[in-house]
Amino acid sequence: MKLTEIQELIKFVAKSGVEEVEIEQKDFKISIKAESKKKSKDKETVYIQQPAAAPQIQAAAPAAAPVAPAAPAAPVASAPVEESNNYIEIKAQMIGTFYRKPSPDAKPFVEVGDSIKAGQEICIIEAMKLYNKIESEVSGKIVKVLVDDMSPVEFDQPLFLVDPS
Amino acid sequence: MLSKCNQLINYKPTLHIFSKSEGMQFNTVFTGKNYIELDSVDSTNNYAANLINTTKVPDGTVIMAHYQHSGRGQMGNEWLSNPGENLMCSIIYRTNQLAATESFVISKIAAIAVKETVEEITNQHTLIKWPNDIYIEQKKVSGMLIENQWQGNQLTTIIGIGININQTEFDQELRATSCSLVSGKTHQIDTVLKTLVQNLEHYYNWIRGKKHIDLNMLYKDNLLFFEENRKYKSNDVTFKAAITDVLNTGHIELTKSNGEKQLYAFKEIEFVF
Repeated sequence: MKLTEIQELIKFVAKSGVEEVEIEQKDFKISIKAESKKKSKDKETVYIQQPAAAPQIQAAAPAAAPVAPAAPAAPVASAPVEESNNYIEIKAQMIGTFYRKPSPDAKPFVEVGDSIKAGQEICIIEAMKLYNKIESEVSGKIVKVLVDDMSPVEFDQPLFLVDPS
Repeated sequence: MLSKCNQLINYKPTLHIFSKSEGMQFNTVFTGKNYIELDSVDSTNNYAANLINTTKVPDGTVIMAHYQHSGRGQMGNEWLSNPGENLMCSIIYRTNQLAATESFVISKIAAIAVKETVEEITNQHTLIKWPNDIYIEQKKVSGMLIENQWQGNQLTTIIGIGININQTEFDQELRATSCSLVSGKTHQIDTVLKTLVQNLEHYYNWIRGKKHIDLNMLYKDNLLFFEENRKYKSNDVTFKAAITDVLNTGHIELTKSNGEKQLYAFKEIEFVF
C-alpha cells in the first residue's frame, strides 16, 4: 500500500464513523481505530459543551463585571475562553481551494454577522476542478471567517466560527 | 477574466439541428428518464442546482439547453456557445458511496464518457487532457464543470458538459475545435446527447460496481501526453517532464528525466503547447 493510499484510508475511516478497520493483504496488515468517535459522529464539527451552558454564561458575564476592578485577572481572562467554547467551527471536509464567492465579481455567500441556517451554502471548496458547495450543518451567526478567499485549505481546517445561540 | 473562455462570441443565425424532445428516449436504466429540455437558460448547472434546492429531483435527471446566456466554465470563466450549434447539458447523480477524497472518480467517468461519445460520432482519435477536458489533435472539443453538494456522506453531483458540435469558427487563441470541424459533417445534437447519456450511465455503473482500478486504467490509457516527455510550467518555471500517474485524489504525477517525481494539484501545473 502506498503512503497516500494509507492517508486516504485513514481519512475515509475517520469520516465514515466506523470504529475500526482491519485490512490484510499478502505481506501487509493495517489496523485503523477511531477511538470513541462514534458518540460524536453526528455532530463532528460541534464542540459545544451543553446547550444549557450558553444562557448561564451570558448571565454570568454581567454579574462578573462589577467584580472585575477588584480582581481583573481571573474573570477577564477566562471569559473569552468560555465564550469561544460555545462557538461552533465549520471545518473543511476536503483539501482544496476555499472560495467565499460563487464567482469573482459576486458577493460572498456569507459575511461576519450574517445569520445562517443549517443547509445554507456558505462557501465552495474546489478540489481538482470539482467545485464542492459547502453547506452549514448548524444554524447561527457567523462570528469569524477563518480563511482568506481563494486560499488553500487542509482537511479538517476550521473555516468559519459560528455562534449557535 | 475571459482569457480561458472556450468559444468566441460569434453570433450567427440559429441553426437548430435538433428534433424536439417528443420521443426523446435514452437507452438507459435510469439516466435521462427525467429529461428537461430548455430553449434558453442562464446555465444548465444553475438550473440543476435550483431544481435540487427546490424539488426532489430524481437520480439521473438530464437537463439540456439549446442556448445558455451565462454558461459557466471554471470559477469566473464564461462558457460561450453559438445558439443551437453545440450540446450543453447537465446530469444530476446522487450517491452515498463516495468519500470526498474519492470524488475525483466522477471527473474520470465523465471524461471517459465524453471522450468515447466524441470519438464515436467523429471517428477521430480523442483524448482526455487532465483533469477533464476533451481534446482532438491538441485542441479542445469539450469541457465540463462539475459541482458537488454534500450532506454528510450523501453527494449530489451536477455534471455540466459542453461539447462543441457544429460550430465552425473559433477564436484562434482558444485552441478550440468542434466535432464538425474534425469530421467534416454536420451532426444531430440529439444523437450526440443520447450517446453521451448512455455512455455516462455505463461508466457511472462502474463506480457503483466499485471498479475504481479499471476506471483508473481506462482514464490513464486515454490521457493526452501520458508518458510523453513534454514542457510543463509551474510557478512560472518551465521544465520538461512526463505524466507518469494520476492518483485517486486527482493529483497528477510528473517525472523529470532525472527521475525526480512531483505531485501537482489542479492549477499548480500548466501544459505548454
